[in-house]
Amino acid sequence: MSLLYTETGRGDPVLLLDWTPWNSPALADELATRYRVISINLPDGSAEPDSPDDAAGAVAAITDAVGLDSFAIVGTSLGAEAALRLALLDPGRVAALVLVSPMSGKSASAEKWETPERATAAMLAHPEVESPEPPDAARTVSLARLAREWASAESAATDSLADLHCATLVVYGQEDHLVSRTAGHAWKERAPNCSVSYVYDAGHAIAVDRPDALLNVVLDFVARRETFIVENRSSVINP
Amino acid sequence: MKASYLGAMGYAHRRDFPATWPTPPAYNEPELSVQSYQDGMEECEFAEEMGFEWISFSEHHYSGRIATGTPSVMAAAVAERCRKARIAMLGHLLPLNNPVRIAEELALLDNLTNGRLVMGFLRGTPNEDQTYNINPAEGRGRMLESMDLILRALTEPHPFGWEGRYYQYRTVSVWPRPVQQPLPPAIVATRSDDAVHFAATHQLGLGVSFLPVEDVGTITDKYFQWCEESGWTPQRDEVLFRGSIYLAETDEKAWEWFHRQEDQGRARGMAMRSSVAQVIQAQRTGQEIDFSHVFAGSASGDIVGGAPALTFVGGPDSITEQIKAYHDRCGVGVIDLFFQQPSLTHNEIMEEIRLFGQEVLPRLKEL
Repeated sequence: MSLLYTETGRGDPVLLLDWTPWNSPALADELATRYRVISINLPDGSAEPDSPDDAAGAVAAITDAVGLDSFAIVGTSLGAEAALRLALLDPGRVAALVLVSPMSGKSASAEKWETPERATAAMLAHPEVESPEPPDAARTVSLARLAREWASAESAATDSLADLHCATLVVYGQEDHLVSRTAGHAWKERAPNCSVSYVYDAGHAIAVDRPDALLNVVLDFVARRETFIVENRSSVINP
Repeated sequence: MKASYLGAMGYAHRRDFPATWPTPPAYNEPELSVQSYQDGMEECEFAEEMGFEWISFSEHHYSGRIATGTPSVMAAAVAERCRKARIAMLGHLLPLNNPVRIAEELALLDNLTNGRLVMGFLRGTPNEDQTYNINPAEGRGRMLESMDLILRALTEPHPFGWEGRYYQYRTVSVWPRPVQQPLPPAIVATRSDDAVHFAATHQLGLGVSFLPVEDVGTITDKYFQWCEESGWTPQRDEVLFRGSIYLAETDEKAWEWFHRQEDQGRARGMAMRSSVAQVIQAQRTGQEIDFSHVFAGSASGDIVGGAPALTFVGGPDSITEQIKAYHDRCGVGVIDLFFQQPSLTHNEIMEEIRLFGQEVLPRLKEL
């Protein structure tokens, strides 16, 4: 099993595992204005990874192939699951970890979003008023199948969060109904260097609902890691 | 049915104020100001003694008519005098304030009162957007986001960040936690569908102010329907109506007083230049406005607007029936009353509270 990847931009390396049905280009495009972005995608069909650990291993192989010593990782939805496993497998190489809408064992809810229509209803904050491009049908079906398979795989990741020492940001949409409202608590209780942020008026697919807000916090964290909590914008009105 | 006394803390000589808002600070004489707050707190104590089960506070700015720009400070002082009544913040003007600060104030008040707090969320009257330089076009959005953030801040057990449209915080960790878990009772005071819907879908109470019975009924009908669709039924205490009142021993005396007020032009309170009113309204509703027609000095440059008309006027029987109509038609379980009409003295208000407690409240409590 191997994964696909593309490279854009220049600078410090950032791995991007944007594995939602929409595969929104906003994250990759904006990151590429400042960083060397290695966007890693899932292959079509039967070559999919059997588990998050398999996926993490395949991502690690790509980092070796392109010669990365250390890197930041940004993973969304199922991509966050693989990103987390990589950070646990190879903690010394991960400079910053950003997990956007991690499902945290809730992958079994895949039946709620296994078609483009269902994905739109389940993953957006206001599906009744928003009209984004519907997600690609084949990609949606593929991700939902993967979510079901990964959910049944035994995962020790949650128990290992105490070993997650890299700077970590977990981002949830305030209206993400695929995870519990209290999903962020476990991260704060178990991961020693973890920040949790909520994006207002966003569902599971934050990059579709509120791309600017997501980019703002992700870019700031990748650049400043745990110090992103320190305000650095001027509030002077008339100098 | 329960009664709530609005602790307005009006300045004693408010009858002398100009009609327009804001009231210049030059009208404030410190000694009289101190006495006015003492009188206002005495009224709250007496209201509790006469059977009012809630004492409420409302954020209003730049005027001595409702002189509680920082309502939490006022509530904390009264809570030390009124040891049984619920302390109802009805409420903070969310678009004007830092929502995290509001959450901190609410949590602290719930601790100081050992769990007697009722939270209330308001947008505010149009003039008050000017207090802290809020664009009227953004008030609705700021209120909706603030409510979400405050509820998260009061319930989250760990530090968190918030990436909003109007608010961004990288570290929120409100201390202390509210005494009432998971949340103190909360009322969204609004007439707008989006905020009514928010209240219904988040299992929060609803407050409506200064409207006739049928208009309030239209709003509460929607609220109850959306609550049902959300799978819950509000308790009586979760539907509140705020009205202003003048109660006398008889209907004749009450209406005689009322007409005297009209004759003397004392019904105003939040009036402003028509130019400013037009611009606020245009920005709130997203309309373009042609400034060449609205500036003062033009034919429309006079004063418009004013305080809401009195909701309840009459003797004890009439007042009881008027309030009962809100209970029967609208499902109102708490009536929040503004007694401090501009021309009334402290002693006259104390007498009204006594009359209400003896002649009206016992009948309301049976509803």
